[in-house]
Amino acid sequence: MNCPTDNFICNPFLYFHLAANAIFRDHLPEPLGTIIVLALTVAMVTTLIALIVMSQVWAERRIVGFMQGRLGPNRVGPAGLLQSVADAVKLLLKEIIIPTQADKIPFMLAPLLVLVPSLVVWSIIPWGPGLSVTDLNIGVLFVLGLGGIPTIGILTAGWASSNKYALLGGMRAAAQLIAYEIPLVIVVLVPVLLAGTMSLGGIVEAQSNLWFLFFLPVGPVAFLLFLVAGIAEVNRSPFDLPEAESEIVAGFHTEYSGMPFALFFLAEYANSFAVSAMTTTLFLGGWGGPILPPFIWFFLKTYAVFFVLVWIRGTLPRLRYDQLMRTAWKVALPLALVTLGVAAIELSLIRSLLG
Amino acid sequence: MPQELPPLYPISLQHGLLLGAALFSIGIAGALTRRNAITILMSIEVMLNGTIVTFVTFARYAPTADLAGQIFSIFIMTVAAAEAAVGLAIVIAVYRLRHTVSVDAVDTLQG
Amino acid sequence: MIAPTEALVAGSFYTFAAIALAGAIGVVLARKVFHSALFLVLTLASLAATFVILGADFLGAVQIVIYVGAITVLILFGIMLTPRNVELPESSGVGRSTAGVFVAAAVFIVSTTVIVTSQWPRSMSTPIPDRPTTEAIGQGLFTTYALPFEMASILLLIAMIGAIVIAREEQ
Repeated sequence: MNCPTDNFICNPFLYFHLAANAIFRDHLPEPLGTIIVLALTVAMVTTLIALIVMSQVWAERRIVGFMQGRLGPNRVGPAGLLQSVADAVKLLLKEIIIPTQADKIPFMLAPLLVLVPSLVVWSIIPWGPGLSVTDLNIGVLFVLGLGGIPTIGILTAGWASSNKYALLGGMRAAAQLIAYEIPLVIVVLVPVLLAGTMSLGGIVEAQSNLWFLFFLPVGPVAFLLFLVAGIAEVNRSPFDLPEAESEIVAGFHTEYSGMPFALFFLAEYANSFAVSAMTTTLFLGGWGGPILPPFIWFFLKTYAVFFVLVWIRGTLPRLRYDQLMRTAWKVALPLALVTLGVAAIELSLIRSLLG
Repeated sequence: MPQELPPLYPISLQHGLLLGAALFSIGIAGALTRRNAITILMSIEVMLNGTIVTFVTFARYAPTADLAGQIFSIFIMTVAAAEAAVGLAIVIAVYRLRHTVSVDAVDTLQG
Repeated sequence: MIAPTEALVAGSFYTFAAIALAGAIGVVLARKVFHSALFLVLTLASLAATFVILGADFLGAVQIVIYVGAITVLILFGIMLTPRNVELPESSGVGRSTAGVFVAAAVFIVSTTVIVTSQWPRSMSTPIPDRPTTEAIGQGLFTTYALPFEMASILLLIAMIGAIVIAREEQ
C-alpha cells in the first residue's frame, strides 16, 4: 500500500505528533518545547515496547506450551492474556535483595546497561515510510554499536554479584557475544552492500522490488547467518549457555531479584524483538507489502520472525560450550566472509552487465 | 598578541581542543601515578581519546578536502585496539608468572 | 523530524564533555580496577556523543563499536583473568605520585596556554557545515590513505597473533 506519512491510517502516531506539537511546541519557548516533545516521544516508544514485551512473553509461553503438549498460562484474563501483567506486578512488588558481598552500585547499574541499548534501538527502526523517531544515515552501524553495550552490562552483573556462578555466566556470555558479534557484523554488511546505504529506511526502500532474502545465492545464507548470530547475541535457546540453569544456576542474573531481575527479563525480550525487527528490516523488506498499511506489514513480519525464534526454542536442545565456540569461529565466521565476498562480486558483475 | 577565549556558545575550536588537552593530562596523571598495569592501560586509552577529540575538532573547524582528521582518528582507534590486545596479553602472562599485576613487580631487568 | 536548536546542541556538548572528564578522573582515582573500567565506559560513550555533535557521526558510531564494544570488554576480561589485582594497594609512593601529578599539570598548563593564546586563522572560527561523513571517509580510506589502511590491518594481524602467542599457556 502506497502510504504518505500524513495519512491517519498509515501513521497511527500522527494524532500524537500533531497534538504534542500543538500543545507544547506552539506555546512554549524553544528549546523547552522541543525537549518536552522529545521526552514524550521517548516515553511513548518505551510504553509501546513494554506492551510488545508483554504480548511476546504471553505468546512465547502459550506457543511453547502447545509445542510441548501443555496448555501454558490460561488463568489470568481471557486465554491468559493478562498473565504477563500479573507477573510484572509480582516482580515489582518483590523485595530487592542485594547480596552483602556485592559491589552495590555496579550491581544496580548492570540491568540498566543491558536494558537501555535495547530500548534505544527502537528509536531508529522504521515502522513505515518515514515512520521512525529518527532515521540515521549510519543506522546499521548505530545498531551494531548498541549491540555491543549489553556485553558490558552482563560482565558487570557477573562480577558485581560476587557469586562464582554469576561470574561464570558473565564470562560465558561475554565470550559468546564477542564470538557471534563478528559474523553478525560481517553479514550485516551484505544488505548494506546491496542497498548502498547504511540508513535503515534506505535499506527498506531498496527492497521494494526484491527482498534481500531472495537475492540468490547470498540472500538466504546471509539471512540464516544473521538469524543464528542474532539468536546467539540475545542469549536465547539454543544459545542460552550464559543462563543455563542445569549447569550454572541462572548465570549472570543468579543474584538478581524483584525489579532488577524484571529489567533483565524485559531486556531479553526487547532484544529478541529488536532482532526480529532488524531481520525484517534487513532481509524481509521491512514495511513493504501490498494492500495493508505499512506498519501492519512491519508487525506481521516481525511477529512471524519472533514465532520462528520461539519455534527454535521449543525444538532444539542447548549447545555444549565447545560446540557453540566451534560454530562461531569455524563455521559462521568463514561462511560470513565468503557470503560478503560473493555478494560483492555478484553486485559488481550485475552492475557491469547492466552498464 | 594574545586572543580572547571565545564565549562558550556557540561551541568553538578552542573548546574542543581544551577538552582534548584535559583528557590527555588526566590520562598522563593516571599512567604515571597508578601501579596496576590494567589501570595504566586504561589511562593510556584516555590519553588516546584526548588526541582523537583534538583530531575531530580540527576536522570540524579546519577546512580540508577529505576529512583527514576523522580518518586519522580511525587509525588511532585501530592502534588502540592493537595496543590493548597486546598489553593485556602481557599483563596476563606476567600475572601467570608473578601472581600480581603491579608494574613494580616487573623490575627484573633493572640493574 | 524535529530540528534541534543551536543552544540545545551547545548545551549537550558541554554536558557530555563534563561527563567524559568526570569519567576520566574516575578512571584515574577509582580504588577498584573494575570501577576504573566502568568509568572508562562512561568516558568513551560520552565522547562518542561529543563526536556526533562535532559533525563526526560515523566516527561516533565507530567509537561505540570499537572502544565500548571491543576494547572495554577486552579490558574487563583482563581484569577477570587476573583476580588478585582487586585488592592491590594503590600507594605508589608519595614521591612518584607528586611527580606524576606535576607532569600532568605541566602538560595541561602548557597546552591550555597554547590553545588560548594562539592566533588561530579566521577561517577556523566557524565550523564546516555538516555533511555526510561516511562516504568521504570511505573514499579517503581507499584512495589517499590506502597505504596506512593496509598497514593498520597488518598491525592488527600482528597484534592478534602476538597477543595469542604471549597469553597462551605453555603446554
